[in-house]
Amino acid sequence: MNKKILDLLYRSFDDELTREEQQRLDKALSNSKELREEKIRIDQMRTVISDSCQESFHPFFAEKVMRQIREAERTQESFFDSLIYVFRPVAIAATILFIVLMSYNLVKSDNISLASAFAVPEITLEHALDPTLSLVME
Amino acid sequence: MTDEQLIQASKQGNEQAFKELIKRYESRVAASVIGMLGNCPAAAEDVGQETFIRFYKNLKNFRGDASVGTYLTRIAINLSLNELKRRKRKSIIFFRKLSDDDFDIHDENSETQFDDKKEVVQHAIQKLEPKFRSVVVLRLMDGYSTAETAEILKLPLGTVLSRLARAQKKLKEILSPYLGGLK
Repeated sequence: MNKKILDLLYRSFDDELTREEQQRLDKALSNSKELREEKIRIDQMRTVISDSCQESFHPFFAEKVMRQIREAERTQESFFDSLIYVFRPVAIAATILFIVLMSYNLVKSDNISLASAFAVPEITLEHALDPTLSLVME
Repeated sequence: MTDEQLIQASKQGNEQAFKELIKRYESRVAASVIGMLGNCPAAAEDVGQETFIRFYKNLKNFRGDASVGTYLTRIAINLSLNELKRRKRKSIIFFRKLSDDDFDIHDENSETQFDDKKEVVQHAIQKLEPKFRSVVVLRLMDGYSTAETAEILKLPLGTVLSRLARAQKKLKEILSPYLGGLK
């Protein structure tokens, strides 16, 4: 059997052939009994395949999926709950410590500013841009 | 209710709406997954469930560019291909490296084993490589057009057509002893 015609025959089931291709295939089909039988076999096979499609899972599939989704959400929620449970006391302790340190720094310092609260030495823009100036000062 | 209405309701946390979507598309997902993985109930159902769970998690990102059916089928096929890769990896680890020809399992008694038409066809489809299997499942079993198949698999139309032709030639070879009795 001509391979090109056979390929054309297969393609004719899934694609629209050009007018010329269709004429070529029709001519070959009318001339070859073997090709006509092949067409019948392909058609038969395609019908058998499409008929054998299995279209269901076990019963209560939707319920099982919903249960899994709920469980996944619950697990995610409990994970965040655990994180909150573990980190809340740490966060509270850190905040208290931070406030105490800031208060201590402010009490020890002469002026009330953000820099003194954080105990950061006050550096002017000139000092920052010219490091030699600070060396001279020292 | 339309699919869009069900999706909107699901996005707002309406479980019944999502359950309705599952019932509406269960058969389509089952056809794709069972076609790809064979009638292996536990694995196919796990992949089916995972398909809907992934869809649920990605509901916020679903903008309706593709239809719900196409979107779900794409997830189902991708997950099935992942499952097949996982099986192949497992075989490599525990047994030996499989070549593509290893999908063509030879069983001396196979011709006398099958009574059921579905079983024969499933067996034949499982002999195809996954890339050929996916086009057969989508086009011949699920009934998608070649353009839709190309869109789902993100392949050029020409590739889908050539894979279909090659897969059908192989299937005809495998099924020819049965075709007379399967009518």
